[in-house]
Amino acid sequence: MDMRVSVLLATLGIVFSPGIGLTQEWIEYANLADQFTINFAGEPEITETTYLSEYRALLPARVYAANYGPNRYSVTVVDYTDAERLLRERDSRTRGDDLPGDILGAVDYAAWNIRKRGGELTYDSWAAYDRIAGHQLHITNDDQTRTYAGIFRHVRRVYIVEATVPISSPPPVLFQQSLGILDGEGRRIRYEFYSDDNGEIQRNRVETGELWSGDPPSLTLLPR
Amino acid sequence: MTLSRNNVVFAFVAVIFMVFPAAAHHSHQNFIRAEYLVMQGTVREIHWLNPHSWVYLEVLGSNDEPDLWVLEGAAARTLFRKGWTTEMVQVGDDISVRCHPLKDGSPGCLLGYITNQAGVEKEFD
Repeated sequence: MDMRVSVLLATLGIVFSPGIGLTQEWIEYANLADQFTINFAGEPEITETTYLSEYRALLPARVYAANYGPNRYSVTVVDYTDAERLLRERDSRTRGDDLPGDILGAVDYAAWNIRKRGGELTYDSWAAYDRIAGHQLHITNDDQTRTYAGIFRHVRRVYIVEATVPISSPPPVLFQQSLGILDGEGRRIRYEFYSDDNGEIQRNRVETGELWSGDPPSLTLLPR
Repeated sequence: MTLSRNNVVFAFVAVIFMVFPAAAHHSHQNFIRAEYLVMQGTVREIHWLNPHSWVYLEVLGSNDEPDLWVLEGAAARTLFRKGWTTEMVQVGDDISVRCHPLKDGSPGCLLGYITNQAGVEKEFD
């Protein structure tokens, strides 16, 4: 960085720190194809890939990644829409309950895969975004970085949110906790929990008034 | 963790009522919601975003070395509706906060309240 700029910033009481990315721009990113929003550190690059499910179906997936200095941010969206067909193609002995298990266990399976990488688990618990259930993991890695992950499933998509930053940086909760899920019309999904007559926790969808549309998507706030 | 008394008030205050909006974006299990952490520091970054706004606060530790805390607040549009303006908290301001710290012990916290440089305390949630 130019020394004059550094002096100016210091004079203004601003510390330039690549660890926190003072000049890092956060955008409210939305993707209608994979139906999610998140705060990204710049426009992400999108990579098509595959994901091997717990029952060994090779599923299509996309990785959305935007890095800033040493900070790495990504969302992996796994599409289970064709999981049943892919499971049967893999093994004709596929049982009727393999598909539900593969989908219902998807969050747990993804969390297990993250734990297997090693490091020190500092937080490992259920979480919900807009009352969409999932899991959060905080890990101090062996290379002295911190990974904050959130894994959520809505219908046939699993969203694996990961942020990895140097341990000297503040925890990357801004990224980890900004995920939102959209429906097929671009409306942000939110639920409310309630207890039914049997005491079971159920959920009802509620209106958020947030509609993403266009290319690139932009947000319209609708009256509620 | 202990912090210098000269520069930072570090206290856990047991709260009787846990206050978080019914319309919170996400669950708050990862924060210690039954306690408030009180800190004073200097704003190094502030991001008025949705679904959450964020304040990066530089707090002097017990060794007089700065620690950078990340503080989560409500969505920007919620804060603006509640009367917050971007002029009320700005980079370089000395503020105090009451927030719920992360369970994992890292320097992150869920607001809570901000007392701005003008001495006005206001909910940032």
